[in-house]
Amino acid sequence: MSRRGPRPVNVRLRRLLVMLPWLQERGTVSTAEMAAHFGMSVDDLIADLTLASLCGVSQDPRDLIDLWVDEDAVHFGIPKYFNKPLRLTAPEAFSLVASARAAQNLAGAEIGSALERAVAKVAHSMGIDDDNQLVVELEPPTAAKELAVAAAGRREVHLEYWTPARGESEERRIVPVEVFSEGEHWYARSLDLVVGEERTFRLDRIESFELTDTIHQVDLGPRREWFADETTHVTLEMDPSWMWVLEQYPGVRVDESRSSKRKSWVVVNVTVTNERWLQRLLLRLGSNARVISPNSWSSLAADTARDVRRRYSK
Amino acid sequence: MHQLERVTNLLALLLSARRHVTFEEIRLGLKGQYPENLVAARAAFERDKGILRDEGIPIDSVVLGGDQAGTTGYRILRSEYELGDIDLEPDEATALRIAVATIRIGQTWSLEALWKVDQDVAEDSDRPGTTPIIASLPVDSRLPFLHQSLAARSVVSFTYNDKSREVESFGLLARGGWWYLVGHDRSVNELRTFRVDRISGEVNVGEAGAYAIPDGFDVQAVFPNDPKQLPDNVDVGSDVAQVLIDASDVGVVLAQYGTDAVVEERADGSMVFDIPCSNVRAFDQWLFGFVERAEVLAPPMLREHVVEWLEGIGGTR
Repeated sequence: MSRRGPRPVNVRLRRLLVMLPWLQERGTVSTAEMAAHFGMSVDDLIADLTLASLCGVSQDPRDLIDLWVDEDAVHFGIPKYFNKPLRLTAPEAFSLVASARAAQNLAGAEIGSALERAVAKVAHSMGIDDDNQLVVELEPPTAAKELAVAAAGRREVHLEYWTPARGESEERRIVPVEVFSEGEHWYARSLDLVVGEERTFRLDRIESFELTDTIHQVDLGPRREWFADETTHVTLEMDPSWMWVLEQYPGVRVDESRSSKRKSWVVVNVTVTNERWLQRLLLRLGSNARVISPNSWSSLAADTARDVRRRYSK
Repeated sequence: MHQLERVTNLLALLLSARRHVTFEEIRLGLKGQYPENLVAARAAFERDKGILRDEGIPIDSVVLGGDQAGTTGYRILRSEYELGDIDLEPDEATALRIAVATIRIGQTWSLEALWKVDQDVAEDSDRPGTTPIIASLPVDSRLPFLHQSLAARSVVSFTYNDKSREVESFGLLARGGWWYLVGHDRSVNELRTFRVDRISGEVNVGEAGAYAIPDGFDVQAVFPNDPKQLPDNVDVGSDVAQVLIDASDVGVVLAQYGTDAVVEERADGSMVFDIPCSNVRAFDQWLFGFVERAEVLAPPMLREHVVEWLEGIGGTR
């Protein structure tokens, strides 16, 4: 069993400074509800609030923060110090405004209008009158909203899906559980009913789809960092000035413990979903990279380049 | 004593102070909480102040005069510390909750911000559960400072492509999985676009109110949507390429460029498309996504460039 380390002082302080005015507004709250609201365990909540109850400008009980925990509830008494939350920090203001701007791409007109007003109020509280120069482009494909509806209801969906590795389409039966964007693409994380396993489908490769009324009980747990279903680890050596080609992919790590045989090149570990994916990457990198391992792919770049070159000989 | 307790006490004391208080007065007020040894006490005090400042708490410090001439006094003005009244309407609070639940920016900043601005008691039950649609935006620790500089019209300075830049920020744009800063680069006296993750090191933010954003400036309009349209210095004789796409993959290109880009439909289902190629490097990246299922037909210089690229990898003639 892994043991968690102590929570950093700054994190606990940040949380306390937002929890105390929140609690003051409410007077009495169950510890379970408060812990859930602030995304922490009841034990951590009680530890932090108990410590806060010992704080003040002096140890005179009249100067201490007036709160106490009993049974399953926490009570707030007379306000003294932290009556309102700390103003938004630069990261918080940015993140809230960017989230709202992004969500306006996804929301209906009614929510969009409320978001616009909310952002204006938040910006105004920060002394910003015009925050229209922060723009988030997020254009979900038309399938995104309907598949999200299917995901919310765990409804079975039938779709025609184009697989780039084979260059052909096939019918799939899936239950989407989540629609999400990563980089420039949108995906539906789903249970593939034919293979009975989790699969992730890129929405721009769905040629057609149909929601059914069949409901399934599906829980796939949290999403993994790298959502391809089967992966292989490949080691490349490459010119670091071409790392920008890899920037869009997750699962890329420069291996600083290894040095390349070529002067000033670096060794990079890449998570590869399939051979065709690697072929594309190697063509894009050109002569600026080389596969070190696995051996079975050491000539893949040259073989692929030769195949493509053949088209230009006609 | 736990450091959290001492830092919270220090914060309470500085918020309650009606005038600037010195380190000695703080030490006396928080009796026994700082070490006896003066050097150790000063070091602990500096660490505590650092935690408060890192959390964005504005500690005002001044060099005092009179009896305390030369010593530094500290206090926190409540008006600087506290979040002003935002007074979100219920629909506005709900919309913000949905936004925070729907958009991931790789940190907990949004949620922490929401806790601050959405303290209303009445709406606790109206919170979104797990949301079936989630969009991720890239995160970069420099973004909040660039946003701050944009809002305050502060010139930012940073290093980009090994060159020092001084930029009047006109807009921040999230597009295609990246953040871009668009602004007037004073170093070259031109409008420039910078990809934020390629900025090296820290961003320094200058004084507020240093410039004005041109009337009608539209960050989306000044930055072409397709990177293949961004001109580079490679001349291939045309800004548009004719590319033959095999039948298996025409659906992808039709989804990207629409039927207007179709130049020719062939009997086997393959199609020839007009594709922008002003930026040859971006074009190459797009083209090689099709591996052997695409072929550049024209212009001849671009076709020759592709052949040379392939031969460089080992695809011999």
